[in-house]
Amino acid sequence: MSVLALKADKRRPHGPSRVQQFLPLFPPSLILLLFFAIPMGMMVGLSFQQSDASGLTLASYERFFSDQFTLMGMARTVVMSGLVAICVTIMAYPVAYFLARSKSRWRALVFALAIAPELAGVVLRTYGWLIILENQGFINNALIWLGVIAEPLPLAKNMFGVVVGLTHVILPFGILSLLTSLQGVDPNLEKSAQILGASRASVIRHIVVPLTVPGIVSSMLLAFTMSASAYATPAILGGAGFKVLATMIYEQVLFYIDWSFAAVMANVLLVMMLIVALIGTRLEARLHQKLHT
Amino acid sequence: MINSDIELIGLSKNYGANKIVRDIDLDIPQGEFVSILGPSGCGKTTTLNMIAGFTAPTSGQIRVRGHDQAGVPPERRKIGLVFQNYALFPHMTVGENVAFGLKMQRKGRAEIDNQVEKSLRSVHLDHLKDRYPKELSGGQQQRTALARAIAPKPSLLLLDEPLSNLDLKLREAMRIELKEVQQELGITFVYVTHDQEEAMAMSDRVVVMHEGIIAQVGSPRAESYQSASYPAAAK
Amino acid sequence: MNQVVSALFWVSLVLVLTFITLPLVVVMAASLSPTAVVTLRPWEWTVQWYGDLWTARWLDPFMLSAQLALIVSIASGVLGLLAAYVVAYEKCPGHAAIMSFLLSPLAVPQIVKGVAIVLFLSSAGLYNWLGTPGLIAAHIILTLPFAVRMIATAMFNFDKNLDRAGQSLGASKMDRIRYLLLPIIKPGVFSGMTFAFIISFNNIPLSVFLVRPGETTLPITVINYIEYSLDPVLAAVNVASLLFVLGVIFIFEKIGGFSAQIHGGSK
Ligand SMILES: Nc1ncnc2c1ncn2[C@@H]1O[C@H](COP(=O)(O)OP(=O)(O)O)[C@@H](O)[C@H]1O
Ligand SMILES: [Mg+2]
Repeated sequence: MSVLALKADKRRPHGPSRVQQFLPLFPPSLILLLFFAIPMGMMVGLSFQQSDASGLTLASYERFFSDQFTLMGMARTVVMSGLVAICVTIMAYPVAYFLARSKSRWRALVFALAIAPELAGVVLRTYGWLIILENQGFINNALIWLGVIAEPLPLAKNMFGVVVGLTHVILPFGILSLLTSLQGVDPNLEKSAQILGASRASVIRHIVVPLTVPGIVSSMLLAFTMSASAYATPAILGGAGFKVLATMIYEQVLFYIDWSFAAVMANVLLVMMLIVALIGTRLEARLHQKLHT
Repeated sequence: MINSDIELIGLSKNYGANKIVRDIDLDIPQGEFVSILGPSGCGKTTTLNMIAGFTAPTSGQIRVRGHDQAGVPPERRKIGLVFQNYALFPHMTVGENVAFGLKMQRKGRAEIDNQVEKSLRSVHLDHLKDRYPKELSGGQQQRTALARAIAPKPSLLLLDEPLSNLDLKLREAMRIELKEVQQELGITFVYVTHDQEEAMAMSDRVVVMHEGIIAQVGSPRAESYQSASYPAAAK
Repeated sequence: MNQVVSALFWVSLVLVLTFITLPLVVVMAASLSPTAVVTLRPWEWTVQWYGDLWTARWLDPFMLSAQLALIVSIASGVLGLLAAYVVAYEKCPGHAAIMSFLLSPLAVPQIVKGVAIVLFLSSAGLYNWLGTPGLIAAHIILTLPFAVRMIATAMFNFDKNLDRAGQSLGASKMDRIRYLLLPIIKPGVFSGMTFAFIISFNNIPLSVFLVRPGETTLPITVINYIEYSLDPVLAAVNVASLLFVLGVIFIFEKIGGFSAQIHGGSK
């Protein structure tokens, strides 16, 4: 090691200079900027423009909030997402509880069963529900063959079918979210309550459920936002008459080619998501505070 | 003239307003086993990190064989280091861990193999060369860390509470082994500990640190204290 | 009373698990049934529909989807590594804010991202970006945040003492990245890349805006086909692409070894 080399190094303690340090950030940031940040900004801008007028205008928003059709679509989105949030959370709870408490060798299998559908993709699962629920589908055929019904039940191409399909798609996320929450509840609390004479039902009602309220809330919010922005399941299982914001946006872009109205719809959906997320973080913080003080 | 391996001259380190190390002077001759003894939080690790080059001193100087180390990055200081938690590379076998330093010096294959063999033999681990760290006991991990540090033949080895994660029995056995390795290689050891007995049992000289200053320097044995030719470095 | 609660719990667990598996089982059965009526009688099953997959109608979209997913997965891995390195390893000034920027696409629904990209490309006059280049860009925007998050987690968990140990043994920065950091975070990188592959391969909400005739991904081809026919070849397509995804996961796992990390293998 030469003395000269030592001298040359004196300038910097060690580590690269500022610019060098940030250099690797350049490619990913550029891509995000070009294909996310700028397009998002442009879309927001577009929603305040009209093709036939210059300057900014709220006309497209006025149209959105005075149009029966779009308002119905928005209401449908909210109802659908609310129903899915409830179904997902109720169905995920027993599975998450089993996964959090069981030590049996079935645990790994149940875990795999709960999560594996995620690999299959939305199309496969939605297609599966379509051939189960449609008029000549699995359920209707079976019921007619058994003589329970004469005419097929309307199970697909409506709200029911979409809620079933979305619940199936989102269930794994609900299970994971509740599992995290249940794993945070000390099993000894339940044991000691039982030793004190509490029944199973009251342990669950008075100990487990109250302590996992934050998990329940986050599972519901997650399911709500995922449903409200889902496209494929409503498109396939909802049929032509069942329009939600996501499918309406798609039609505006590709059939009506009304960009500024599409941008308005997208912004409404985005703002809806952000509001739910905001409520979610607020609520979670408050619940956390309540449980941990 | 210069027969000291490391000199610390007026060495200080502040973190904000906290003066963690205050104006330390210490002279360590080639081949000495020095212990730095002091309670937790007194600045031992900080001092070691400054010698190793991970932390820049606020003021003062560190000289290694007469060369000022300011601005020399740790990878060019040729100082061996043994960590409290061993810091073994989990994805490499014992042999690969020990070879790492030599590989970084771009040594030839034969020389690396030879030196790895030698280092492992001196810590009695030659039979575990192909094991991964997580397949080793605490004592074996400790010895791997030691072998890895000595393999590139540094002239100076810094050890930061290397035995504190071992149980008492093993710790006592390891003290003897460490001392043997040091004498066999004849390199300088700076050994940090908060265990007085340990410091006394192993070192040629004990430096007692307290709240960032050197409170006392002395030999662990009265007779060698008498014959010690090095002046106390404390202020 | 306790027995009733217990029984209810087990019944509900079994029902939910049945609900989860039902559509998968039905699609498998449908892909093997001789007619559009799904049969659960295995002796009637046939693999004829799988034979029908070997036509350009299905092979072309499959090739496009597979190539797209591979490109997107590699790009997300590389870009994610670069970003995570600065944010999680170097912990540059403002790393928390930069991380939020990198993860920000996650806050926006896919369909909205899709509209934004297609409006941007059209109004910027980049019409020839519609199709494969647009698909690549859009999918990267979708998968990059996941990759960044997974790789950054691996880098946050990287023990800085290993780096110091390497440094004390004479390893330069490049050596440390090559021999210590990259091998140790490899499982994190590969789980991010696998995730990116699956998301891209199965994607609909972004692709739906960017496909064009002759450049249509497999999921979009399937949903377009569902619109006018439900014949069992669709079931065969779905099962085949699921098997393909499982195969890809298996290969990525062999290279990246991420399940070892999940089960607490290293460190
Ligand atoms: N990077 C740092 N920033 C601020 N304070 C630090 C830093 N590193 C160490 N300290 C403080 O310096 C003091 C001495 O630490 P250390 O040298 O690790 O002590 P020891 O090794 O003797 O136990 C401690 O009080 C610690 O909190
Ligand atoms: Mg210390």
